[in-house]
Amino acid sequence: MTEPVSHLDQAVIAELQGIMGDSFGLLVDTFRQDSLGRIESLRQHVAGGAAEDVRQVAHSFKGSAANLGALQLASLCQSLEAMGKSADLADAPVRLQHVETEFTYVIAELEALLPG
Amino acid sequence: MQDDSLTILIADDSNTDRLLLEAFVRKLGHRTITAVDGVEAIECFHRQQPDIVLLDALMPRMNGFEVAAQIRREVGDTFIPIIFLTALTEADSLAQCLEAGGDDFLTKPYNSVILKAKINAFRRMLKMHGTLQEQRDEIARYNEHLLREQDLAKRIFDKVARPGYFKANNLRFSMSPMAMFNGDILLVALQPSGNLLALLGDFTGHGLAAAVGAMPLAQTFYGMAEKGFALKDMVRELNAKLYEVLPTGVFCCACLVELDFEHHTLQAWNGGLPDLFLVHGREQRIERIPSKSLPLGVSSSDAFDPAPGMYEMEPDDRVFLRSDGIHETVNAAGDMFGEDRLEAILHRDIPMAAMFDAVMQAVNAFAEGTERTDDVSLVELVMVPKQAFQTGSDVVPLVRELQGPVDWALDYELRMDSIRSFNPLPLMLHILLEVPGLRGHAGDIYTILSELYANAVEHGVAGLDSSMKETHEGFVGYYLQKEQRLRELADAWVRFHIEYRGDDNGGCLRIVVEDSGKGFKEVPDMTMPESGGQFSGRGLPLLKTLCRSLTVLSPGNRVEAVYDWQYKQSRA
Amino acid sequence: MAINSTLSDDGKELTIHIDGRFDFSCHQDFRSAYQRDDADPSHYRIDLKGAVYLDSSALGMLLLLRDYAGGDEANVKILNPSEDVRKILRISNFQRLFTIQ
Repeated sequence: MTEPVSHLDQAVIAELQGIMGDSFGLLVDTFRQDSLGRIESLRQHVAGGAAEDVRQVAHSFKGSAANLGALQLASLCQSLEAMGKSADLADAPVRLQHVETEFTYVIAELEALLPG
Repeated sequence: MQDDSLTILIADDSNTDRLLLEAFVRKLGHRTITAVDGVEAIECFHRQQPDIVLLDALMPRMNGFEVAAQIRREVGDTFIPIIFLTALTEADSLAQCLEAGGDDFLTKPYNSVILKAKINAFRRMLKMHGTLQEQRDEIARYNEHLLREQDLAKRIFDKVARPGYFKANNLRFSMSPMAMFNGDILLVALQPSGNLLALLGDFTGHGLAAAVGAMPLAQTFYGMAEKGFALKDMVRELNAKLYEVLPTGVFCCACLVELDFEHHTLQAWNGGLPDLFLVHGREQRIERIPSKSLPLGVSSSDAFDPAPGMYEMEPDDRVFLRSDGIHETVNAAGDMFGEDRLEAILHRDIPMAAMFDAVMQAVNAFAEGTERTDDVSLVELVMVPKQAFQTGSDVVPLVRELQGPVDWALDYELRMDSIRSFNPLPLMLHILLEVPGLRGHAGDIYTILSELYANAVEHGVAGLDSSMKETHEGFVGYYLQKEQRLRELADAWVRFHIEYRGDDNGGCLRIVVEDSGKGFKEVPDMTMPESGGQFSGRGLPLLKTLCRSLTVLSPGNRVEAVYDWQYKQSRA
Repeated sequence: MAINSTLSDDGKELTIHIDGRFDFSCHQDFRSAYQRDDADPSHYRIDLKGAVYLDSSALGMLLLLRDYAGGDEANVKILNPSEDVRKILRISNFQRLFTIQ
């Protein structure tokens, strides 16, 4: 049996919980809403071929993901950001799909940390 | 810790990151304000005046770079640390943050240890900057205050020093425009006798200290000069006045000179200034007049010596007065101008009239290339024949509208102790000059009083024969004898009887001087002698030309002078 | 500019040494040199051996010391002035107020 692979940096999560205290739930909630909004707009921009917009949204998403200790998610966002920057969105739909999948793991793990 | 807490503005459009950072900052004990874009950030900045600004670089409506630039423009040199929040990693983007006016940046993911270290560092800088700024403002306020006081002092200084005879045709001077600040002062007055008096002073300290000393100095100088006090009495009084007024440690190095155009003599007193140079043209000789006394205002004791020296001058001979500015003038190499250079110029074979300019030019050329070029006080006074001397100014006292007494008489008797030690002329003149309109005639009045009084004391009381004065030996002997007889006499007196009657046009002054002497065997002839030799030399005949009438009353110990004057014919 | 003062063993004589330019910038140091809480000397000596220049405010400071030391009864000696410094003292006739050696 293998250890379940975590999608979050546990040290970061521990620090966040320490600092946010009771507001940790609010943080997770905010992150979920921010992220859903970003994923939705990334879909539109990728579909519309708006490379600069892809770059900006992916950039912001990357920062937030990093702050929450979701390093794999941040890394995926960064590669999307790079595509936007190079104005080559050929592989973007696939990469966005990876981002969405990774996000579902991340948010599930975060919500599992919340009480009841 | 509460005292150290700061107000920190966080501007980030990412709700997650903003929420997170807010929690981080609060955990460190600071107050937070949040904004969701650049425009709101500016509004919050105006409203709450935060101590530190944390700015996301990429924001809707107005990005972080623009916000930073606008804040910098608005706050001027007030220190507001701006820290960029960024997930950027490329070096050029980070450089862009700093160029836009950022002081530092914080990369995502946030790290509470780094955040704490950065905020603490900026808090220390803010404190230091605040202290510096307070000190700078305090210095600026102090400086402004000082400038105001100096300006005030300068105005006082100029006002008290100004009413002098600075346009006299035998006077040239250069006073630094900074005179007030180096404490140099020049005063020039005319004695009732027509003698020209000049005082060059150099106060220790400057600004207000100099102005404070300048007031009593100038007022005493002009007041006493106008009343005809002797130079020695003026020096003594100036010293007493300054000693009384000035704090210990502030004093006035000064010299006073009196030019007598009639007898071509110079009286000079020097207390603490560099040697005066008296240039004798015909003999091509330079006589130095060194400081022989303590400066004015140092001591009231006998250590202060008010006695001036007496020097002979011929027409066109000149005396140079200076403060230490000339020989202390420093050239670009740091050498001082010194005494030798100055004396060498005066020894050069140039016309006497060119000496003043030559000195000034040499000093200015010497100081070329240094900052201090005109910090020099130099005064030149030339002996001229009496008729050639012109005051050059309209200092002739104004006709007074004020009414004084118009019909009065006074009797004044001096006994022996007073005759020996007291000069009554300033007092008498002081009373007479209170008569409206008579100030313009001060010279005449002074001459009449002084000749009549000298006549009464020397010939009447002391019984001396003025024919003694015809030879040089006799001249000296005459004064020695006078002193001796005055010492010996016990019961002598001189009486003044003065009557005055005036109206709107002018007035008539009758002065009778009577002495306790025996008088003369015969009433003297009063025509002007061709070459001296008559009983009174030139004294009484000279008076006859000034007065409506001059009468020697039998047996010769009473002389009556009647002097008329009119308003419109004021003598210059 | 450097000013320091030394007290004789019996505490009666205070010697103030002045090095460099003696001018207004020395004001505070000079005053602290003679206004000492730990001493009440009856004689003062100003050693100018190391003084290269003296301006009129220094003359003023000497007068302040003289006042502090008792005015006309003060016992203040000025020692070792250079030729230039001696000349400045002479022009102001300070030899009438101080013993200059």
